[in-house]
Amino acid sequence: MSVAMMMSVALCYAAMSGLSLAMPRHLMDVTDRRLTATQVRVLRWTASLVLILAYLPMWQVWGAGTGFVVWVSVLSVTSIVLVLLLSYGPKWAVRVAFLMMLSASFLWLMQ
Amino acid sequence: MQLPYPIRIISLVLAATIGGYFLTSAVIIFLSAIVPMDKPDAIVASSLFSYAIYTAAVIWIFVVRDSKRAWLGMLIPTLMFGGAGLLISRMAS
Amino acid sequence: MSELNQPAKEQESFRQAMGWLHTWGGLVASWALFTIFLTGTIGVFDEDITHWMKPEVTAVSDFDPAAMTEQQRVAAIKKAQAYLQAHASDSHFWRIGLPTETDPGIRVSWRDQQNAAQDTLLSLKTGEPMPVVENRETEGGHHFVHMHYEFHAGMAGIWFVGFFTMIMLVALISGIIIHKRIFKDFFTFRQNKGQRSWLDGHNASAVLTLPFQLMIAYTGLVIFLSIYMPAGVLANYSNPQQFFAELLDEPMHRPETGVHADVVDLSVLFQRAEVMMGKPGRFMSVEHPGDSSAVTKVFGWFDEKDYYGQLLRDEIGNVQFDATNGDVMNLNPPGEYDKGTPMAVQRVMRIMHFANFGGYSVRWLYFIMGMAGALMMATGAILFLVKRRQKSLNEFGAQTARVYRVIEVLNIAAISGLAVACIGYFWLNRLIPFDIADRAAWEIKGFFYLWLLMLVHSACRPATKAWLEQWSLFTLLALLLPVMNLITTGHWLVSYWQTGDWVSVGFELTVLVFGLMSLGLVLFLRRKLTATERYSQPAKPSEAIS
Repeated sequence: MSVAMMMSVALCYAAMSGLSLAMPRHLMDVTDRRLTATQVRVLRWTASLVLILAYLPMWQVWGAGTGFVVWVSVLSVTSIVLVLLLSYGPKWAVRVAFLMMLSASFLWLMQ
Repeated sequence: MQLPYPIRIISLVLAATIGGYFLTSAVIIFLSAIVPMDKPDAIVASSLFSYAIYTAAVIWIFVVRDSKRAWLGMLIPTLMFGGAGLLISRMAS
Repeated sequence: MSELNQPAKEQESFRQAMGWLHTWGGLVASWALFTIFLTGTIGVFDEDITHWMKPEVTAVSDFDPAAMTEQQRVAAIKKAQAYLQAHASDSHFWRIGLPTETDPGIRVSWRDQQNAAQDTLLSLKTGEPMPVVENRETEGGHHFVHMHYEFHAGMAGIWFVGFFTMIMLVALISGIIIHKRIFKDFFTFRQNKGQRSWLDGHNASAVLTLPFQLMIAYTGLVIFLSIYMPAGVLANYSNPQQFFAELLDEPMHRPETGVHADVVDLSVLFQRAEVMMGKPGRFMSVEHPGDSSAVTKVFGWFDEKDYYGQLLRDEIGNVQFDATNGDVMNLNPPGEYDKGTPMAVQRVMRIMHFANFGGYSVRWLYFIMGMAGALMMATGAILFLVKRRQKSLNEFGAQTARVYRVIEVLNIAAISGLAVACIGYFWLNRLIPFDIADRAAWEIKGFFYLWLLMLVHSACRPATKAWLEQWSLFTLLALLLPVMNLITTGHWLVSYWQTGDWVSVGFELTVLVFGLMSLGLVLFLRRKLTATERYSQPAKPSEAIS
């Protein structure tokens, strides 16, 4: 897997987990803390931004069109992993999200 | 949900599969005739939409759920679009 | 008051109608579609599977097809033509394929008098068919591709697949319409909650891969656009061949005249074509050899690496000659796509369906999403019965229980039965002797017989036991595959690792992973079985809706 692909996978997973945790029903499985309305909004916007960022390495490697197709595919596959983790190991879902954000930053700095 | 009569269901399914197919074909013939491209390109361009049209027709039939409306809804546009399409392409060539 | 109720009631019955359409359309199509999806998903790796299924080829060849010289290629064409003149002189169609990595010989194919496809692999050195011990005759991974788009049934199969794919589009759209909380439930999967879990699983596998599902169904249909939707062509052309000629900017197909004419030296034409295209040739076809209408086409070399990332590929190039006198009829130079936009759209859709535009990354992504699609159908079919076991909906009056039982048997045979047939196919590849005539056909027949056996089995056993037994068989066959391979060929996962045969390593690892997953499923089913046995009488097979 190329660096670009790894970065995109990491960012997609992180973004989707952010979006899922912005929903009370999934946050409940992970922690007893509740988020305020503003915090939820910030989380959603940040996650959406990260989602878009995940497209950029795909654009660079594959071109705009093919990159879009691969990006959507990566979103689907990382979401599947996320849903399984949320169901069978919710705390791990969050840990992996932080791990992914770290990895993505690391990969970007390494370039 | 249960539809009461098996015959009604068979009629709707036939309207969807057979009627829907002919409707789709008629729309393609019509589009191929009016799309402003070279003939082979126009045919390919119109045909690409066929499966979307077919799907929409099937969904529509099961929305109206009435056998008579379903068949009329397939046959009348088929004749209109198909007839107009054939006419226009005859005139153009 | 009734006016206020009216819109709500209408919406409710609209939803009910779409629910009915989704449930019944989905169920009726589920078995065929699951098959199409499972075989198609496995078929993403057809070349890699063929590689594993032909261990002699990998052992024998250090051969690099791209390193062949012009002399070697021309000599290969000469040998191929000599063979075809001797063995297929009255055929209507020849094809000569230069060696590739999985086919280290000259692949000659032709259609015999019954219009059945025949082919054999000729040795580069001798021009005679390669001995079977060096080239195990098998359809390899392409079997799955053929199952996927035509169920090995030619034109009837292509229509069969198209019909059910249309139902899939309808099921997808109706499913989206009836899914009330598509965004709220996006990440929801509640395990261990019976019917709720099955519904969540069905929804999750569908919604999370929804763009893929819509795309794959539509693009699959678009591949056979000229077969499924010929209305535009038929309304505008009395001869469909003229449509293709105009579309592709090529000479029209010439019908047979019945007048005999010899085919000229193809190797000369091949050489000339290579000069005209400015690149090596890869394969050539001859239509109506021996007839005065004979035409030959030489196609340019291509390599998947050249197309990496391309959804709209460059033309590979081809040259068409009159095969009776060598006149050039048409040149399609290699280079950027230069035909119309609508056909470009069709080609892009075709490439998007085939998953070969982005190397292994894209293949694996499609593999996972394809399996999710298969899961979507399997969970849907199972959910249908889980719901009705809670409370029969009595859709068929007195016959309802019997209909449910039939659906149950079909579910088991279509899902676990097909899985057993697929893994069994790999076992057959190693167990069927080299020298049986039509060896490749026997592997495929074995696949179908195994599947049929699973259908009979599921009809004779109570449901939960049938599931358990078939998945146990799959688990056994999957986990023991590398060992069986070692016993029959002397190679296995460990030796593949040592020799650096990563394709075969990948194949066996994937099989093992699926074996482990099904082991988990078997343990789950065993717990369920003992729980049911503890609390109720074992049901008779004929009324087992357990």
